[in-house]
Parts: sequence; C-alpha cells; structure tokens
Amino acid sequence: MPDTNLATISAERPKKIKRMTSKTQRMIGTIILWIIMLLLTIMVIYPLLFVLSTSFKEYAEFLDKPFSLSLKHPENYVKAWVDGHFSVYFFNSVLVTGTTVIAKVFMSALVAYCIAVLKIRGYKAVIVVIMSTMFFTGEITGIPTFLLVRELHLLDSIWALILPGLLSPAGLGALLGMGYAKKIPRELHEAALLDGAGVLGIFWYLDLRLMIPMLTFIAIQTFTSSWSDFFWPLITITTNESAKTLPLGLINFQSQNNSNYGVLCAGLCIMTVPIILLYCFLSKYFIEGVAAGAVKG
Amino acid sequence: MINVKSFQKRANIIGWLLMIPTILGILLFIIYPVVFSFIMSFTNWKFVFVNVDFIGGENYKWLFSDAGSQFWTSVWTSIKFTFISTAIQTFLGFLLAYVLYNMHPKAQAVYKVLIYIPVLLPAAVVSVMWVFIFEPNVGLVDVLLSYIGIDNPPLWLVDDDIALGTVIFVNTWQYLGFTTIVYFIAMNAISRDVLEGATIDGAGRGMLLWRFVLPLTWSSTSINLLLSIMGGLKSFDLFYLFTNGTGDHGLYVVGLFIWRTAYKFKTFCRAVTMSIVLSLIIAAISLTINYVLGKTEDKIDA
Amino acid sequence: MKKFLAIVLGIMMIFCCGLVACDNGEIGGEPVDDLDPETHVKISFMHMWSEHAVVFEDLIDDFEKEHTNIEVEISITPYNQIEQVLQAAYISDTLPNVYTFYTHYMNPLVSSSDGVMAGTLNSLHDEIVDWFIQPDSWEMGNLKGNYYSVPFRVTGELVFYNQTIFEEKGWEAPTTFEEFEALMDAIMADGQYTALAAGGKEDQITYLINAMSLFAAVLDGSVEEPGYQVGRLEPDEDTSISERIYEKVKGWVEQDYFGKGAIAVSKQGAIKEFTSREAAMVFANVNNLGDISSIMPNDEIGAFAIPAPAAIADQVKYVYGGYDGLSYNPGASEDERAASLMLIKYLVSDEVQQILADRTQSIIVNKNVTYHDPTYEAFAEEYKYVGAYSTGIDYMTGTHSAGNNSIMTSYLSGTSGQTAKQIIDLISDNVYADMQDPLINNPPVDWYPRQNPKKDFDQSWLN
Repeated sequence: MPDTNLATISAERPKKIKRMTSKTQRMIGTIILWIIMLLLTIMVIYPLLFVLSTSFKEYAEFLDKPFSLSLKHPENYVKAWVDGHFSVYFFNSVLVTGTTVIAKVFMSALVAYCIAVLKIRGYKAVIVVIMSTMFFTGEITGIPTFLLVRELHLLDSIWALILPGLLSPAGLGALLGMGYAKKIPRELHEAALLDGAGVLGIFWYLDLRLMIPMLTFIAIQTFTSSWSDFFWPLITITTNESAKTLPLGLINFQSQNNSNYGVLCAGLCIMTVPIILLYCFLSKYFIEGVAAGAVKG
Repeated sequence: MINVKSFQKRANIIGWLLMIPTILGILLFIIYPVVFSFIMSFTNWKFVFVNVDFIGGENYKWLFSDAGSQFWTSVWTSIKFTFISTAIQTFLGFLLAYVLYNMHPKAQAVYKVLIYIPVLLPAAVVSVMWVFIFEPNVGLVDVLLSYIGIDNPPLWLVDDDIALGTVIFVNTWQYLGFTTIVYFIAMNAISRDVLEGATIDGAGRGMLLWRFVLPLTWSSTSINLLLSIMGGLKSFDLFYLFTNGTGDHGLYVVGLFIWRTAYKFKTFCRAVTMSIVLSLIIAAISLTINYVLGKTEDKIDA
Repeated sequence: MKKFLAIVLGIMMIFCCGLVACDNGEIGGEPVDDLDPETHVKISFMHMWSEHAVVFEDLIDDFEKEHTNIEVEISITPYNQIEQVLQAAYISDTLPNVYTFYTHYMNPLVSSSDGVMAGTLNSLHDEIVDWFIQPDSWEMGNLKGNYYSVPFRVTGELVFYNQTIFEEKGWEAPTTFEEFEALMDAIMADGQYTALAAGGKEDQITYLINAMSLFAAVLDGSVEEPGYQVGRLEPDEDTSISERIYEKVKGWVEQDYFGKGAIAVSKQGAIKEFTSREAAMVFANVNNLGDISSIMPNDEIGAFAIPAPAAIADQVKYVYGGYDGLSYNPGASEDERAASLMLIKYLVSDEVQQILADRTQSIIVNKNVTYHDPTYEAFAEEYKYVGAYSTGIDYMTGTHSAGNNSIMTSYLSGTSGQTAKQIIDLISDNVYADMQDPLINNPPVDWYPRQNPKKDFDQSWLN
C-alpha cells in the first residue's frame, strides 16, 4: 500500500470517545489546511497570471489596469519571437542547457557513487573539497574563468558557454546525490556483489537506476539555473549575435525609456514555459522512492 | 565468497578514475580561479590589466580600516537576511512537505508542480512582478490593503525597517518549493512500514513528526540548511533588482557590495579581497553547522 | 601527494602571472585624415537602442553604400548592461571599433582603464563642434583636457504637464522659478491634483535639489570657477543656501506635492499617476511622450525645463540629463580608427540626424535638424539646456559617495532624523573620501580652492 493515507490510519484508532474529539479536531485541521493551501495556490498562481496577462497587453492597457486579465494582443508573442530572433537564441539555449544538464547529472551520480557507496580512500577529504566549491562567490571564480576561456580563444562563441557547463564541478548535485545514495541499503550492494557484478556494473545497473528520483531533481535544478543564466553569457558573448542565449535576447526588450512590458513578458513566458513543462513531465519520477519496493521483502 | 578486500582495492582505483572529470573541473573552475584571485588581492588591479602592481596587504588593511567598514555592515545585513529566511524556509518547507506527503495522490500531483513553479522562474520575471506588486498606492498589496481599510501602508521597499522583511518574504516565496521538494523526496524514501508500525503503536501525529519523520529526513534538513545559508550569504540578484543595483534602504547585502566594488567602482582587487574574506566567513558558518548537524545525525543513528 | 599539490599550485601561479603580464595597453592616437578609399576595412559598431534596431541597420547600410571599402558589423547591448559588456569586450580583445556610451559618464571607462578604452577626439571636436545645438555638451565628456565622447542623442527628463487641465484651471507653464513654485502651490491649493508626480525611488525628487543648486551656483558666480568646471570646487564653511534648498524640497515632500509615498514611487508609477489624471505634472523623458499621448489621446501634453529665478531666467534652465555619446576603440589599427571616425562623423551629420529625428522620435544634437511635429519642436527647444554649464568631473567616485542618494532620500522622507546641515556635510565628506582614495583616483585629488569671492544675489526665491 504505497499510497496509504495517514489520516485514515489515525482515524481507525480503537478508543471510541477519543475518536469523536479527534474527528472534530481533524475536521478543523483539514479546513485550516485547505485554507492555507488555497492561499498558497493564489500566491503562486496570481503573480504568474500577472506576467501571462501582461504579455497580452499593450503598454497603455498595462499602465491603466496592470492587474486585470487580458488576452487582447497575442501579436506580442510574434514580435518577441521574430523581432527578438528567438529561434536562434532558443536553439542555443537548448544546446547549452542540454549538454550542461547531462554532464552535471552524470557527474553528480558518479561522485555520489564513489563517495557514498564505494567510500574510496580519502572520501572524507573529497566531501570537504566538494562542499568548499560552494563557498566561493561568483566574483572570485567569474573573472579568472573568463580569462581562462579567453586563453583558449573560445570567447564570443557558443563553446564559451558549453565548456564550463560540461566541466565545472557539480557541487550542489554531488551533495544531494551523496545524501540520497547513502540511503541505498547495503544489502542490495552485497547481493549485487555476490551475483558477480563489478564496480562499474553495480553503478550502472543498480545505483544509477535507484538514484533516478534524486537525479531527476538535480536535472531540473541544473536546467533551471543554466536556462536562466545571464551573467556569464553576458560577458562572454559580447558581439556574436548567433551565439547568444534566451536571457540575453530577453534583455534586448528592456530599453531605457521605451517600456514595452507586453513583449518583455511574452519573451519571459516563451522562456519559462519549457521549464514548467519539463518539470511537469519529470516530477512524476520523484515519487518513486528508493525504499518503495526494493528492500521490502 | 568474494574477497571484500580486493574489491575495495579495485573500487579505490576505479573510483578515483571516475572522479577525474570532477577533479579536472574543480582544478580548472575552482582552484585556479581562487589562486588567481588570491594573488590579485595583493595588487592594485582595477579591471583592465594596465599598470597592475603588487601593493602588498593594502587591500586587506583597507578592509579592516574605517574606510572598509561598509563591508562589515553589509556582511551583517546578509547574516540577518540569511538566518531569518533560512529559519522560515526550513520550518515551512518541512511542514509543507509533510502536508504534501499526506495528500491524495491527485492533489499531490498538482501541488508538487505548483509549489515548485516559483523556483523555476528566472529572477528577471520575479522582480518585474514584485516591483509592481509592491508599488506604493497603485500596487496590488496597497490596493488590497485599502479594501480592508488600511490607507497608510508602509513603503514596502523603501522603508529601511521593512524593506529587508519584504525581500525575505519574496525570497521565501521563491525558494520554499526547493526546500519542500528536497524534504518531500526524503519522506518518500522513508519506508511506509515504519510509519504504519508507529501509528499502530499509538503514536500521535505530532509524535510521529517529531520522533520519526524529522529524524528520518535529517540529512535533508542538513542539506536544506546548508544550501539556504550558503545561498543566502551569497544572494544578490533580488537585492540588485529591487534597488536598481544601488542597495539603498537597508538592502546593501554583501553580495551586492562586492558586485558594485568590482563592476561599478572598478576596484576588482578589493572585490576579490572581500570575496576571499566572505568565502572564509561562509566556510566557517557552514562547517560549524555541518559539524553540529553531523553530531546530531550520529546521535539519531545511534 | 603534498609535493604534487605544491607543484600544481606553483604552475598555476606562474600561469596567473603570465595572464596578467601578457596584456598590453597599446593605444594609437587620434587619426586626422580620412581612410584611403582604396583600403578595405571591417569595423564593428555596438549600440544600445534595441527599439530602433531597424533604423540603425538602414543607416549603416547607407553608410556602407557611401563608403564601399568599409564594412560595418552591428551588435546591440541594452543600456543597463553596456558598461560591463564593454569592459568584458576590452579584456577579451573584442572591444567594438565604435560604441555608444554616455558623454556625461565617460569617467568609469576612461579613468579606470587609463584611457585604453576610449580614444581622444580633440581635433574632431575642433572640426565639428559648431554642428551642435549645445556646444557645451562636449564638455561633459572632457576629462583632463581631452574629449572622449561625441554627443549623439539627448537623454534627459523634463516636467511634462497636462495642457488640457491647465487650460481648464487657468494655469500656465512657468517661465521663472518663482512662477514654478507659485504654480505648484496653486495646484495643491486647488486640491484636485497632485502637483508634480515624481519617481522618488529613482531619485527624481532630487532633480529639484540639483536644479536649485545649479541656479544658486550661476547666481553667485561659482560656475565661472575652474574648480566648479572639474566638479570639485571646495565646499564653503557656510552652507546656509544649500540648507535652504534642501529644506524647501523636504517641505514639498512633507506636503505631498509629489504625491503620497512619492519617495517610494517608481518612474512608471509616476507616469501612471499622470496618465490617470491624478497628477497635473510629471517628470518624464521625451521617449515617454509617444506612450503617454497614446494613453491619453484627449489631453494635450506640454513640457518645460525647470526654470531659473527671474534674475537669470533667460540664461539658464535645468534639465536632468546628459547625452548618449559615441566613442571609438583607440587600440585598433590606424585604418580601422580612421574608418571609425568617419562613421562617428556620419552619425552626427545633418542628414543622418534628420533621419533619426524623423524615425526614432528622439531629440537630436545637430542644430540643422527640423522637427515636423510641433510638440517635439517645443521639446527640443527645452532640451537645448541639457549640458549648459556642464562639468567634466575629473575624478572617480566610489564606495563612499555611492550611498549619497540613499542619504538624501532618507533625509527627504524624514527617516534619518538628521538636519540639512548634517546631510550636506556628510555628502561632501563622502565625496572627499573617494577623491582621496588612491585606488580609485591615482594620484588622489583634492578640493579646488575658490579663486574669486561669491557674488551676492537676491535670495527671495529660496523663501
């Protein structure tokens, strides 16, 4: 019974009187809970609707009634896509983000496996090093990395975005992966070992698969940050229009006094929709917890 | 019988081989930049590499003198921001994850997406929205407040005492989903048998949370706390966007201060000096917390 | 293991030092002659007007047709990112041959880079300065005796007013500061409208302080001081006039002359108050005019620069603003530099400026341009004052004075609890601290003592 509802369990308690009070208590609790969830829903949905409806507005309408809902000017999307050269930027973004996500997920899984499962010699030191990669701010790493990429003559080309994406260490992913891999029961590894699996075999057939929920999460996390990364492309892709990514295309709609919020928000929606769709698609993998079936028997 | 020893030996070799890409990445993108920045913190590097000379420890001296006192003020602002928002976020995230965990599968599927959407939004979207929502008189918040009779609401993003609270609110709105989902994944990894057994033994709901769910998701708590604290101390984009990059009105956090020292005041050597000091502060706080949490975790395991 | 680490670190250190050393800041001088028509060159041009991208493509096409030996590559970076992008481009050796920046804000590019990012334009100045409506505008980009930027397009903020409301109520656009104040008083006394909607969050209220300080400086003769012209005239012990200016503006804020909570309002919020007819006047940029008149088609919109006190009303007005300007990369080859200057000259020439005025609805620097729309013509007349009495501030500001706007805002909103005197002293102390900072200004600069005593003037407009 993987989806057993805890509420039903507690309702089946034996003592009769206690059940009565707990029932009213529970009802009040449920009502409060639903009110909170409703409020939460509004708080998440409303700002999104705000951006969405702004994307269908002209400036005048936006200024007049910024919080009203509207669907009047779908041409903002055409403007954003065509005038903003979004097809090129979109392709570049997909390319950069795709390679980054694959590399980061795979590297996180490997690190997690080596440390949490294999416990390779000196793994404690490695944990400290990986954690310490997260102490440093963008100001420390940004400019030297920029100079490094310059020395490799990759500036102003899409490789300036792909290479750091491929190689830069996955601090967060590795930490999350380690926490998760630690939970994988030792019996499973012992069984695999008895079956004659090698070091790589155990990783490929057992741990990689068992880590899918967390890896999905890491993928989404990496996707989000890479998809909306702005500062690094800004300084590395300065003049080459064909190597720019979506966030750079988006700022082209911001000009000092010309406030075309409609097109800006249309661009934002174009940029945001893929992430949300991807998340909706992948989120079902989260629920398949490690322990759900594997160790029960 | 397998030879465990020989397996461990093989595991060591292959394991380190598998770590090569990560090690390469760390060398290229972390260690080299840090070494570089450390060297540059002893120069008068402005931005371009013209007339760059070594000036000894001047930058560090500056940082610890009166002239650099703003840095420490901004560090304090960041620490306030970080600890308040981390506390709120972790607490709410845990509760919300538990609510989510107990939901009907269909509702769960919806809320799992809903709750995470703000995390997915680029900071640019978030700021465009919230700036309009907090605009005086005509912004959504003030309009709603005027319906319930509050005609003199505070200036949300300008009043020095309130602005930080406003940003904490927005920050929580944005990252709560992350904390929640990390907890949620961990809760799903708890064997249902454990919880079922506990309920049958007569544990109340509060007891269940306190005695079972909290300890069993402890590693998530430590990850959440660490990430939120490190992120909070480094955070800068919300502050940048809400103040047009100036950090006015008590919103001058250290991330913004360093950014401005580098790109606005064009004194990169000072910016890297501050970054190094900030990294040490972040390291000290994180390692302390990691140590404390680790001790707690050991206790739970035992 | 430790040995290995030490070796790796050592190699890295050498590598780092190598990176620093290999940079060379060689720059060429200002080319005087045009490019030989036989020589083929390719140059790059970066501008910041994404909204006028098509216009610029057309203009550059025409330029290429005119000069078949020059090929121009265009790229766009928005105004709020261009400073960083130019710096990054310089470091990565892709600094565009010609780029747009701000004539009144060349200091960050010139001082911090020791002049390697922008070339001097001294002989071009002598050649074409009389093409300009406001020749003084060049002085904004004059640093330590060299010009670094050609003014190209006015960017500034006027007081917009709703003519229709004004006619209904019998109000008139002011021509002197006294009239301006009387007008605001009249609007407030009438009670129906906010006098002057202002985006205090984006410092629009402080424009009034700047305006009145400029008027006082003209009246007491400070503008003639060499120290004033480089932006560092020694502050007087006696700050009574400045105090009165600060207190006056604070008084207006307290009486809601700029609307409720004006100190937290954004520019967009201020424009909204104007377009929804809650305010009779607003600070706005000429580029907002199109939007505003499309929202309120039944209202006539006028605009004026903040007028000066009666004694000097015909010499000076205040407009908050400056110029989008053009600069070139001095590190390029001689041919590229020659072509760059040809492109710059082309962009400020009569015919191109006329096309820009017609197609981009902006106010232009060239004095031979005519505006077909009478509203724009009237606006252009007011914008003539941008850059009058302008100063080429010859030092960089930094950490300390960066907080000055915040200090002013909290003074105006009354949250700091400090007196005007304390605020004024604090602000000049902060500026002085930056002037003395050897890293920001090398060598450190000092105040410039006053040469002649202050003149007396009629102070009734400050009451």
